[in-house]
Amino acid sequence: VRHVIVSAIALAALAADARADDGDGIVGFRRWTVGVAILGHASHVNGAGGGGWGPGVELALGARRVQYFLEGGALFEDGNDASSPVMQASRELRGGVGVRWLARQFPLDRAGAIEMHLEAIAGVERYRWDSGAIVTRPDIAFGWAWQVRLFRHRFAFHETARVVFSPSDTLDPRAATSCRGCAAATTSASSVPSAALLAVFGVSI
Amino acid sequence: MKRALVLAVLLAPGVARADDRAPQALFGLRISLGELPLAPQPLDVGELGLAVEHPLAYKLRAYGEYEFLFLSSQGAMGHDVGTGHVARIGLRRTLAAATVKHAVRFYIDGELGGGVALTDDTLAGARVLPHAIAGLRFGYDLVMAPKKTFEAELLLRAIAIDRGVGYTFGVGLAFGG
Repeated sequence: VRHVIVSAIALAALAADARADDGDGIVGFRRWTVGVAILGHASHVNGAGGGGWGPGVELALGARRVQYFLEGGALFEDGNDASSPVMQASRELRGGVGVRWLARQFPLDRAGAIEMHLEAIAGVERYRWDSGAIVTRPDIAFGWAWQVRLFRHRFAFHETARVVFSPSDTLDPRAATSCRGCAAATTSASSVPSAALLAVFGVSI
Repeated sequence: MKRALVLAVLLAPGVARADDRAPQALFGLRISLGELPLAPQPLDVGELGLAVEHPLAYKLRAYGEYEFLFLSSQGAMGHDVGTGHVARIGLRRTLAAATVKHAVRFYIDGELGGGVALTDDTLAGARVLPHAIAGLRFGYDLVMAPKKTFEAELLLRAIAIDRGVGYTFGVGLAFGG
């Protein structure tokens, strides 16, 4: 996490003279937007990998090139892909609050624009396995996105990729009961970094 | 799962620069997949990155980039083994370019670069990996805004580390102006 933050600061400094000018035709975020999305998540719980897909929603408040947002989602984890033969199926609920920066914008005539966003999110994720066991943990995420926005129709499509950090390697005894072979996985994976990938494919109006 | 997600993100982008405009500094993002000889067996690599570029001369640009790495072992029972951070600098030069109907400019660029990766995985622990890259970029610009740049490109790279040579392929988007 420290490396990511330091790198982000360094990139921001390097990009300073390439930063878009507010007075040079940048169309800022609308005041309020709502969005729906498909979320895809690949992560670790107790050292075992899993992943899934599900719906997500977002409510955002825009202020020129900054947008503050609340988000939530439900993911259905197969927990049994090639990377993890040990985890049972689970359902994940997640919610978070974040901030998004309109880093760049390329106008498509006057009809719309292609945009680049950078974002940071703090949230909570809650897993419930078929056995009934529950794991709740916080996370923070950093991501980037590209978005096509149609000004006249007040419609936008975006695609986001995030790196999500969470304290995934602490074995919760309740989770172990839901995770076949989890003890072995946890022992062998004690140093598995708790980084996950979250992809978001969404539309907003 | 990570591979599927990265592929899904790879399949979407598209668009944008004019030959007559002054070269601009660019800021962009990229996502790549590949394989590196980080362990006795090669590891799958997924990369999420940010990049900045500055024009140096006609057809020549310098760039710096940061990438976050996801590392996975290969095979049917492959599993996630670690993560990493990459800092890299390099030069890219246009090898061939053609503008069609003053609307779209297609280009092929070659690049050379190098950097350092910090990786942490369950196979070898934390490592510092100096590396060198050589690659090609196939992309296009749209000539729509006189003071703006938007490039979309496909990147193919060979990456040399102490244990051998790997590769990555991916897409990049860059904005300028």
